[in-house]
Amino acid sequence: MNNKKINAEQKGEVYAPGRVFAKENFVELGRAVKRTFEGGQKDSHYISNKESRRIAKENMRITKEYEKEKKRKNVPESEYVTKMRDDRNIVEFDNLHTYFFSDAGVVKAVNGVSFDIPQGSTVGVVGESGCGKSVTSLSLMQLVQAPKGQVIRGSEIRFKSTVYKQDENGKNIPIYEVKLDEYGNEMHDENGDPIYVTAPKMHKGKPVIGKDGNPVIERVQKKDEDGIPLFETEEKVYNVAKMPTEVMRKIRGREITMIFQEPMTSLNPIFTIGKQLDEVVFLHIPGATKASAKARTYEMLKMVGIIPENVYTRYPHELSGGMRQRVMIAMALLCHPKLIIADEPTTALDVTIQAQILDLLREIKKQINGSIMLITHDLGVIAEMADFVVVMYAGRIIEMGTAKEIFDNPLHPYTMGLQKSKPAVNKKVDRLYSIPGSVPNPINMPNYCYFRDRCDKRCAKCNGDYPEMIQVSPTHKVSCHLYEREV
Amino acid sequence: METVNAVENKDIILDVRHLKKYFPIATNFFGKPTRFLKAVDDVSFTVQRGKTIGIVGESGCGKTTMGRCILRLHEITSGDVFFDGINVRELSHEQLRKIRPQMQIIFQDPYSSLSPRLPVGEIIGEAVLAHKLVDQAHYREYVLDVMHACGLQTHYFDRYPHEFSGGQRQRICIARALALKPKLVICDEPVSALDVSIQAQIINLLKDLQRDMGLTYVFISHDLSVVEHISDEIGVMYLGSMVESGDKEKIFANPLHPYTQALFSAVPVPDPNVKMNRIVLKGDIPSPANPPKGCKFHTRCNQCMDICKEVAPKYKEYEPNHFCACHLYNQD
Repeated sequence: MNNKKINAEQKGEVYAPGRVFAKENFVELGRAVKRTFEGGQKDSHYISNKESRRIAKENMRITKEYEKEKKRKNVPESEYVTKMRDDRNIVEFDNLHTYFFSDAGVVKAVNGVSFDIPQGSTVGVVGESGCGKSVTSLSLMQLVQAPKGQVIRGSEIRFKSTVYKQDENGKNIPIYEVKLDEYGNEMHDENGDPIYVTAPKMHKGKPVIGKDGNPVIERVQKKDEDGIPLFETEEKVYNVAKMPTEVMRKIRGREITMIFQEPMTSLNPIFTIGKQLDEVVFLHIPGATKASAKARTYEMLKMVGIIPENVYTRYPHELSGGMRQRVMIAMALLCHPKLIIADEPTTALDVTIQAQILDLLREIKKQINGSIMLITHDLGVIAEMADFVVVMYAGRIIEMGTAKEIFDNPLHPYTMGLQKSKPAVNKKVDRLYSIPGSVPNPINMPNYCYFRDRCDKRCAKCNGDYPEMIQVSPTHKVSCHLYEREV
Repeated sequence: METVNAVENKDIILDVRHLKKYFPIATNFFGKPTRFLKAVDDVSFTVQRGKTIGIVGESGCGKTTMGRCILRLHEITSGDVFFDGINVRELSHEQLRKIRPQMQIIFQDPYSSLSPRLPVGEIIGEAVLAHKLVDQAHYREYVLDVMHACGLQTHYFDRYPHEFSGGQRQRICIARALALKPKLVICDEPVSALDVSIQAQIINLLKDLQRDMGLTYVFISHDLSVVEHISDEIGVMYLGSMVESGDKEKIFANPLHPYTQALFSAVPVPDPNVKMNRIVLKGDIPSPANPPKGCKFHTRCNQCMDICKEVAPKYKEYEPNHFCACHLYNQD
C-alpha cells in the first residue's frame, strides 16, 4: 500500500485507490453534466416541480370560476343578448381570447382575434398547426376542451340567431294555415284577422269528442314539404362567449354546424347512418315525427349526392372515407344552418375525392344561402373556395383581406413565405423558399412580434411592441411594422 | 454473394420487373389461401443512379407496399427487383443483411417511427454500430457529423424524441437512414405529416443531401405538387398497377392516361384568379380485394369504351421514356 503511494508521489500524482478507473468516469460524467447543462440552458421552458404545482393550483381556482358561471341555470337573457356591429354579418369575433390553463403555464391559443363572417360568404382561415385556427371555431361552438380551455372574459363572439318565439308559458308559437281564396291570396274576415283552416282534433287516428258531445275543432298548423310543423321565429343576436351551455345547445347543431376533419371517427360506429341523422332532426326541430325526420334525412342525403336507400340502414364502417364525409355534410345540413364550420374537411381524403367534396360544398352554399367558415392549412383549397382569407400565426391574426388581395398582394412576410414555400404544379423553382425555424413555444410568448425570429425582413422596430393591425385598404388589414409609415 | 448480372446498363441502380405482391385474405378448410388482395400487381420500372422517381396515387393503390417490397420488408410474391445488379428476391437472410445498409427507408409518420426510449444519438448510431461501419472510437464523431449534415444541432445527441417537433423528428429519421451511407433511399411520404413551412425545409434538405451524397430516391407521395418539385421521373399508380410512367416533363406536358389527367386537374392551385377546368372523377376507388374486370380504372373513367370492361390494356411505350396502359392509344 505504502509503496504504491510513494510510487505515485514520485510520479507527481495524487494517490487515491481506484482513481485510474474513476478518473475516466469523472471526465465523462463532467462532460455529460456540461452537455445537459448547455442543453438545459437553451431550454428556457423548464419549470420545477414546485412551480408546476403552484401553477396547477392557480389554474384550478380560475377554471372553477369559469365553469361555475357556465353551468348557471335560468340566466336572464339580457346578459347575453347584444347587437351586431354590422347587420350584414352573421358572426363577429371581437377580441377573442381563448386560453388553455396547462400545468406548464397558460397557453394563449387564441390571443385577441377579431374578424367578421358576412352573410352568404366563405371565410377561409389558414395557418400552420397550433396557430389557433381550430380553437377559434371551437370557441364559437362552445366546444373548447373544458375545464382546461376557457374563453376569457371580455371576449365577444356575436352570432345572429333565429330562435323560436315563445309565449308567456315558454311554449313555441305555432304558425297556422290560413285559408286561401281562388287567387292564392290569404283570406281575411271583416276585422282584418286571417281566417284559419280548421279541422277536427285527432288523437290516435280518432277524432276527440269534447264535453258537449261534438268533435273538437282546432286550427291546422302549417307544415313544410317534409311534414315538419312550423313555428314562429324571431331574430336575436347572442354573445356566445357569455351564453350558458344550456342555451347554447339549442343553437349548436341547428344554426351553426361543424364538419370535422376525421370522417372516420366522427360518426358513431354502433348506430346506423339513418338513426344518427334522424336523431339530429328530433333534437332540434320541435314537432318532428319519425316520418318527417326520415323525409328530411332523405332530402339531405340526396343533396350531397348519395342514394338514400343505399345508405340509410348501413353502419359507418361500411362506407368509404369520401362517403362518410358526405354523410357528415348531410348531417350538418339537416336543420338548414346559417353557418357551416368546415374544419379541414378534406385533409384526410385523396385528391380526387377532395375535388368532389369541394365541389359539393360550393354547390350547397349556393342552395342554402348560408356562410361557410373554412379552416385549412392548404392554400390551394383556400384560393379555390374562399371569398375572404384570415391568416393566423401563433394565436393572432397577422393578415386578413379578400382572397384576391391575400394571394395577389400578400403583405406580411409570413404570408409571403407560406405562399413561396408551397410547391405548385407548373411553377418551376429550383429551390423552395423555406421559412427558417419553427413556431415558437406557446407558453410565455414575448411582447414583440411573434414572427420576428423567423422573419427575413425584420428591422429595429420589430424589437418593440407587438404590431397593431394596420388598415391597408377597406378590406385588407395587416399586422406588421413594415407598413406603419404608409398610414 | 450471388449476383445475377441482368442489368447491362451500369447507370441503372434499381430495376423492378413485373413485381407482384398478393396478400392472402381468405383461406379454405385446409388453411390454403383461396382469395388474394393484389396490393401490387405487375409493376415494372427502372431508376437511374442519382435520380429521383416519384410514385403518386391515391391511398390504397399500393405505393407503400411496393416501396417495402423493394427493400424486401415484405416478401415478394413474384417478379424481380434488381438492386445494383443483385436480385434482391433471391438473397438469403445473411446476404440481405449485408446489403441493407445500401438501401434505406424514411417512414411517413415521424411520431411513431422513432423509439421513445432511445436518445437521438443512439437512434441514429445504432445501425452504424450493428453494421460495423465505424469503430467505437470514432462512433460519436461520426454520428455528430451525420446530425450536422441533416441540420440537427449536436447537443441534441442525448435528448429523446418526445422533446422534438415534427420537422425535427423527420430530420432524425432522415439522419438515421443516411448514417449508413446508402445508395438508394425509399422516402415513403416523408413530408405529408408536416406543416407547409416545415415541408419546404425537409424537401430542400433532401435535395441538398442528394446533390452532396449522390443519392437515389424513390419518392412516394400523394401530393402531386411535391412530387413534381422533387422528381426527375414519375410513376402513377392505380389499384396496384402502374398506369403511366416516364419523364416528369413529358407526363406533365402531355398526360396520356385519363386517370393521370383527372389527378392533375384535381390539385387545387393556390391562385384565386386561375379557374381550373376540372375533371371530377365519379365514385370512390374500388376495393383492391375485388378489382373491376378489364381495365381497373373503367368504373370511374370518363372516356370508357366497351373494350375497357373486358380486356386489361397493355403497358406500352408511346414516346421515348413515356409508358402508359390505356385502350385509348394504339395497343398493337
